[in-house]
Formats: sequence, C-alpha cells, structure tokens
Amino acid sequence: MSGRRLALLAGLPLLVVLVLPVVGLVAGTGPAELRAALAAPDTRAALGLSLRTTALATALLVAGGTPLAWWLSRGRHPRVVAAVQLPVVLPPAVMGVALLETFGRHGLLGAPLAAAGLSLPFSRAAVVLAQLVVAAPLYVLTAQAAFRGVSEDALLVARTLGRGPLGAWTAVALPAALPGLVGGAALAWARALGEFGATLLFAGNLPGRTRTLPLAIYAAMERDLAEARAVAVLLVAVALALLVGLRLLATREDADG
Amino acid sequence: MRWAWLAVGAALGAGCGRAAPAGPTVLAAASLTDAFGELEAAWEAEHPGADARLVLAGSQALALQARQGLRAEVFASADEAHARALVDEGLARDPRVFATNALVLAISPEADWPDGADLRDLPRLERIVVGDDGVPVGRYTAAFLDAAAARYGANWLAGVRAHVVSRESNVRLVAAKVAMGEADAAFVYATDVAAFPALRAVPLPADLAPAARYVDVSLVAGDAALADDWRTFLVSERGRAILAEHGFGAPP
Repeated sequence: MSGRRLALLAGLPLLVVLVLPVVGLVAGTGPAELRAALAAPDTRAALGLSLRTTALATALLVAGGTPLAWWLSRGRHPRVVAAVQLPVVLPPAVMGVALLETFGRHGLLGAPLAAAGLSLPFSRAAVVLAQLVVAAPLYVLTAQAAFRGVSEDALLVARTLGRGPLGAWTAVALPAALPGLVGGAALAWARALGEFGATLLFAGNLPGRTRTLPLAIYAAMERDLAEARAVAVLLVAVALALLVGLRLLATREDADG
Repeated sequence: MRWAWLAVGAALGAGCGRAAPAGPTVLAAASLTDAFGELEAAWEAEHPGADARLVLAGSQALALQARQGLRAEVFASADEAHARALVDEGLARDPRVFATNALVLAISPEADWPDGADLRDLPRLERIVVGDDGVPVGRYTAAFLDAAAARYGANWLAGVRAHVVSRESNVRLVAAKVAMGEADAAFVYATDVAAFPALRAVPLPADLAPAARYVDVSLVAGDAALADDWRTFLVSERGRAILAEHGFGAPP
C-alpha cells in the first residue's frame, strides 16, 4: 500500500466523524421544509442581516489584520501571537461577557462611549464587533503563515528597482501571499457566519436587528425542530459556498500568477 | 507503554461502564437553578452516599434532550406545554403542578424609575428585555402585554414594544441583562428578582398576569423508584420550605 493511501486510511475515521453530522442534518430536511424556511420573513431577515454584518466584519478584519499579520511574519512576537490566538481558546459566551465589560454601559469604555453618544450593546455594531473578534485569529494567523513565505531578498530586489516600501510590498509580498490571504478570509468569514455565543450576550437577540442566522436557529429550536434544522441547512450551504467559492478564486489567481 | 493503555482503559471504563447511579438525574428549567441547587444538596443530605445530578437549561432544550435520549429520571418544566408534550409522546408520565411563580417587572438599580412610578411609565424607559415567544417566560410576557394593552391602551403597548431591545432564549439571560445594568427593565419571574437582590420588582396586577405553573413528570426511560423518591421529597415539608424561600408559590 502506498504512503498516501495509508494516510487516507488512517485519516478516514476523522473525516467520517466530521462529515456525518452534516449529512445527518441535511438528510432530515426535505426541499419543502427548506423552501418554507426560506419563505419565512424571519429567516430572510436573519439571512440578510448575517450576510451584511459578516461581510462588514470580514472587510474590517482584512483591513486591520493584513498589516498586523505582515508585521507578525517579519519577526518573533510570541506574546502578540498568543493575544491574537486567545479568542480561539475562550468560550464565545465568555467573549460576549468580556465585550460587555468593555463596551457596555458599565464597561471600561462605557462612560467615554456614552459621552460620545455611542451605545454598542444590542446594536448592529455589536453584532459586527462580536463576529470580528471571534473570527480574527483565523485570518491573522493564516495570513501570517502566508506572509512567512515572502523572502526579504525579493522585497529588496523590488526596492533596488526603484519601488517604495509600499510599492515593493504590493508588487512582491501581496501576490505571493494572496492565496493564503483569501483562504484565511474565507475561513474567517465562515466562522463569523456561525458566531453565536458572543453575539447572544453582547448584541442581544432581536428579530430584524441583531438576530443573525445562528440566533434564529436557536430561537426556532424552541418552537419547531424541523424549522431550526432547515435554517441550519441554509447556514451550512452559505458557509460551504463561501469556503469553496473563495478557495476556487484563490487557486485560480495562484495559477494565473 | 502498557501502563499508559491500562490508564486509558481505566479512564474510559470509569466513564462508560459505571454502575447504575444511586441518585436521580433531574432536568430542570433555568428558573429553578437556585432552588433546585439547594434541593439537590438537601436530598443528598437525606440520602448519604447518593448523588443527585441537575441538568439546567431552558425547558424546551431539556425536552429536546429527553427526546433525543438523555437518560434522566425527572423533568421539571417552567410551563405545562413542554411537560405535557413529552407525556403525549409516551416519554413521560404523571404530570403534576408542583410550584407557581409570578411574572414581575424587574427594574435595574440605575434605571430612571422614581418611587411611585407604575406600569404606565414603562414606555419611558430606554431599554426593555423580554423572553422570546418560544420560551415560557416570553409567552407569559406576551400574554400579559396583550391583556395590559386593553387597560393602558394601544399607545402604551406600542411604546413598550418600541423599547424592546432583545428577546432572550431563557429567563436567566433576560435577568442577567437587567442585573448587569445593560437593560433598564425586564419581565422575569419573582424568583429571578430574589436571586439578584439589586433589582427592584414591580408586581403586575394579578388579573392581567396569571401565575406561571411549574410541572414535573417522571421520564419513562429513567428509574421509576428514584423518580418517585425525588418527587416525593420535592413536595415534602423540607422541599416546600426551600421552594418558598426562593420565591416560589405553592400549587393551587
């Protein structure tokens, strides 16, 4: 038996455990239930809200996370890396309480925010912030790994050819790391879509305003399990489309470059 | 290496092949958290060596877990619907109302709520949190608001609804939001206010807010003798005293 086949054989049980629950979820849901869930105004509102908030959270994450990941990739910063990794380890509900203790009325920044006329809890901004925080490690760490492959020599060559620091970075580092960046962004986006615990505590749960797809699933679970399952299948479909779609985009760009 | 495998085996064995539990597993609604915690300790004090276990969550989540095969002796629901549904499905028997609870308006200590303010002033508060329609406390709240609209007017109801910032999935989440001061007011049970002493409770007119009825059932999959033991203890003098201490009313 070849090494590859042996590896697949050894990894197969894990793959089955990962895939089977999704199969179970989808198998219990017929097209009629899916259509009914999609037609429900509550589900559509939750889907629209989820797509808008996660798109914004991912855009903010890419804007801030890319420079951070670049800086991390150029040196050794174990403590900063640990800080970035922290949301992976913390239960999301704890993260929700932490966000309240920071941005809530009585939080660290509560008084200055109130003075500025800003109130985050129970708002859409809170939904985005919760998604941003829990998804951040997935993007920053993937981007950092992608940037690690960019050599200082290549940057230096671009500089000697007359490019400025930013010009050299966009000409050399960005294209080389792009597949990794896109893959990281897709993963972060999908994680943001599934965000539940931090949102529940920090942003509350109001239909049409802060009730995202995962919160809608939780609410539906209390009324009707079939409906909850149908909305969950919808969430899985959107997340898979994101993961696969963006990955295809990344590999195509990789092939073109 | 062999000792390591033996250790793993021992650990797995301890987890799986345990002898029949010497105490009941009780699925209890989130609003029973404090009272049942004390009842558990009291039951164990009367049954040396036995270990009662509590699983606390929203009534609907517990009903779902019972349906999916979570092995337990008793299910104590915050409303009749979830308990009766399990009885109708043949998974539970002997439903009984064992306590009542009153819906109240809880006011945060920081909220602008002068002494003498009453329900009419509710729409002046900025942030109100309620339970979702799918959970018992949310259903009681919705019924109360509809009944109250007939007395205080449609404008009052619209004013209250406009300030609802969240519909939480269990009563403890509702109470936590107002106890943390993030919300100004919330509809919770009298027992939740008892659990958060900083909160002020505004009683609701009894004719508009019927008491919540707590119903327990014995689960068919569980050990019948253990279930009976727990349920008898629940309505014993000691059990009733603990329930009353936590703000629960006696069954009608």
